[in-house]
Amino acid sequence: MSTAATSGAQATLLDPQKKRRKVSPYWITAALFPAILLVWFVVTQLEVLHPILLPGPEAVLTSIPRVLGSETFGIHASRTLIETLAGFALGAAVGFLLGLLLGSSSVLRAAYLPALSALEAVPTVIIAPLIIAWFGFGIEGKAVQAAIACFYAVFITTLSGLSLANANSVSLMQSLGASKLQTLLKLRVPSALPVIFGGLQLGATTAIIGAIVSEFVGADAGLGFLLLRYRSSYDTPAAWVLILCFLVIGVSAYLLISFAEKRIVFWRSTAVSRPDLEKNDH
Amino acid sequence: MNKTRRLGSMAILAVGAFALSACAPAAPTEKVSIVMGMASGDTFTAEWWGWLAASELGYYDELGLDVTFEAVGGSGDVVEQLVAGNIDAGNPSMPAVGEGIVVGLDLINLYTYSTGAIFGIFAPESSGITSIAGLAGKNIGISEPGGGEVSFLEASLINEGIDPITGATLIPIGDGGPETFAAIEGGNVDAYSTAYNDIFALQTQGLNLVDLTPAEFKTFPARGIITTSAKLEEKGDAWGLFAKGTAMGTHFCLQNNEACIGMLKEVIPAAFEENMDGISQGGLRFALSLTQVPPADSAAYGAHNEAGTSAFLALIASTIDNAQDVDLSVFLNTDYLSVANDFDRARVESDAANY
Amino acid sequence: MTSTAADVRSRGKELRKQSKSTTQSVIVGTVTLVVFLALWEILPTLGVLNRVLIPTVSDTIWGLGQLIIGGYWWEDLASTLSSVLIAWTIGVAFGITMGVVLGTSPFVRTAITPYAIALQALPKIVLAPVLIGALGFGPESKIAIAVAICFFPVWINTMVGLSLPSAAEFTFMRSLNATRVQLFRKLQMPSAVPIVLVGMKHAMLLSFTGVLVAEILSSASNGLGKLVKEFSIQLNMPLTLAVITVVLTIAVSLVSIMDVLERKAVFWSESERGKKS
Repeated sequence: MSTAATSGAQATLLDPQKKRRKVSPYWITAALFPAILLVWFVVTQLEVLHPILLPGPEAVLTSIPRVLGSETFGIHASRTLIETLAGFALGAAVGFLLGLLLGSSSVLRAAYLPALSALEAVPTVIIAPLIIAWFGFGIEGKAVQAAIACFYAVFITTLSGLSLANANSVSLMQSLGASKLQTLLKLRVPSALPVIFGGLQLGATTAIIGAIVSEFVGADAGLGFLLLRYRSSYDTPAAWVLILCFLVIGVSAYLLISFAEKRIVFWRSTAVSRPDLEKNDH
Repeated sequence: MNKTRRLGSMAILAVGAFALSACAPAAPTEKVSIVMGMASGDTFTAEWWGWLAASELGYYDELGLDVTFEAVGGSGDVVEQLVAGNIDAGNPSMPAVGEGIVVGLDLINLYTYSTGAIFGIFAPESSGITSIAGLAGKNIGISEPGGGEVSFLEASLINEGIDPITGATLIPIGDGGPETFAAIEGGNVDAYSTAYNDIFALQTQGLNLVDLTPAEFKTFPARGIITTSAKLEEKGDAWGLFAKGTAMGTHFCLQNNEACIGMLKEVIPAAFEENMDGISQGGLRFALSLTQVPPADSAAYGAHNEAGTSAFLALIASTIDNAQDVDLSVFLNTDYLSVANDFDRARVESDAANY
Repeated sequence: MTSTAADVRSRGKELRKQSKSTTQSVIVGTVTLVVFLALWEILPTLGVLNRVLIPTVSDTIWGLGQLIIGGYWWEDLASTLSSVLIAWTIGVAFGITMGVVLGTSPFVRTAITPYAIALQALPKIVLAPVLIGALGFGPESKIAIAVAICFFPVWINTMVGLSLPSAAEFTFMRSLNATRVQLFRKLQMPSAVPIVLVGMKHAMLLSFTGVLVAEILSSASNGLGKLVKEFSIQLNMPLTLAVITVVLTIAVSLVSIMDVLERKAVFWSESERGKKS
């Protein structure tokens, strides 16, 4: 099984430029969508689960206009988006700077890395009440929770990305009299960027989760809050419309960052040609 | 209506399958199993003891019942799992049940376990507010928008001639945890409306609160044995026995509080953990429940208060668009109440005395 | 993507350098810890932080003592830990399988990426009612949520790890008439193992988060998450922080164990890769 699969990879690796396939993989992506709906439909028709727990796709799809068309949907959606963006900006900035700091000192890295990593195991909902107590029930408190949820992904990828720079290039820079800071900014950060963008993509998804989950506790608006409202009136199809919204937001965020990456890391194909960085393979 | 019927027929199918599998190895002494979903996410301590005692003392066992308790989560989760047919009965708090009833879910209360204000309105002593009228123009904390207490608060304000939208500001401050403490201490709100149980934590941290809750709230039902019409049919007479066992357990606890506190401590020790000042909130919650569980007439455990329930449902319906009419004679089932009270009180009392 | 093989490889080279700076790290770590604990003790005492919300270190130690004397929470600890380990095992097995079966084909990988991302960005806790309905009220539903959260980095890292060897390395091995099995054993696996371990470490943390979130936000009859929630609602912050301290201690231990395994794997990987050249 594994050999069959690896032979495919190896064939592509042997000749990555060769475009043997005429079918775009995105056709498969598109074809999977109705297939998933069909499976979902069949499962609900079989009444494995009661519709109050899992409504059928037809009930969810017909609820879309009702949910998206309600007066307050825009307020809730923009609230969640603002929290996500603010949280992501804050969390990514902190994660990047911490990554730089620990990446440039093996002493600091050994001293702090285990503790910082362990923080990832503590869900933000545990400390949500304290965060709210300090930052209030408004956007700030939620953005902080989203930031905490996403900082680790950016931090850890920045850290690993910084060690990517070719050892020869580093010694070349140093022999030319470049300072540690110059080496960091001119060589190590640029070569780490593709990896950091991977972290940003992951971080964006966790920031969205962080913002939505933060709205489950002590919130007065947002899509997570709205989801709880629909559930409290047992309107499960409407709750599932929101779950579909979460999926759409997640994919959009991912694609946006992929797009930004292509604009910003235009040198990537020349500077780093490593198959491990080609996450998307298009 | 259509929806209800569909749910009903599906539930009957499920029941059929379940009954077949349950009856296959039927022995003459086979016990009837009842899975009771507990709203464990709410205040377990205050709400569980009657059932727990009946189970611990073997009353259910004696009556030929095999009762298991499942920790299902919040009251809304319990209602969902009830309707889905995954539990036979549950003790969701009445606001969650009311929300379900007015949107047309098939829910039945066959035994009212506790009555009284689930929600209250409170003001810190330092605020100087002593009545609902004093809330005009103030900031009032609520647990969250759409929290169960909001409709009660709004109704109380309207009764005093205060418009809940223009006459006061409602601010969500959480349900009694650190965030609530910070909001009240910091003076962000002048009063706080929430579930009764939520204020104990604040009081034990030195926030003294004045209870402004209107008296009519005290006739509202708090919790009951809630089930669905399909389950009612499926288990038949077992419900009478379940209600009877529960009444016995409750009667026992009312005679011997300490024994029941001991049972609760055994099962949920964390709820009775003392804080640094040696105060256990489990104890405070138990004390509150002692004002809510005893029935108005000690010969009528489980009796419903129709007027109170009706007023309560009307209040919930007033906050919901397209609320459906509720047939009180279906929701409040009285078929099993006489069986429930048909037990030897002297024997239970001697059990309590000799525990 | 959570990490890269380059990180792993260079970390291997750095190891010797690191051993010299280990003493320094220990000093820095200890000093930080002491300063942190001192501030944690002093600020609430002085009233800079509200002591009700943030109790001091000594309050928290009192809480820990209370927990240990109480002794009832071993069951919660066992429930959380066993759920974490079960979820992690399933998540790792599932992630590696997905990585090997789907990940090595760029075509399939591209086709399913949008769905993988969508699932990744979904707060898995919203699926709790469905999972409870399907799996019952036992620990299964919280394990399922944790699996859904933790398999992702293992999957991604397996895909990345298997495609790590450069085209030149493949050509070289082929010129030696290596079979596909040999290619996998001698080339792809050694390069994949360290990076898969990085994913497994991240999965361990995420599995922990997943179980705790499920215990806090969904139904659970026991568990550390349930305890934290109970104590927090009671505003009993010394006990709340005591449980969080326990969680952090376990997490640090798990990370450290995984670090040791990872270092061993790096050496193994380098020696395996050394053999062929």
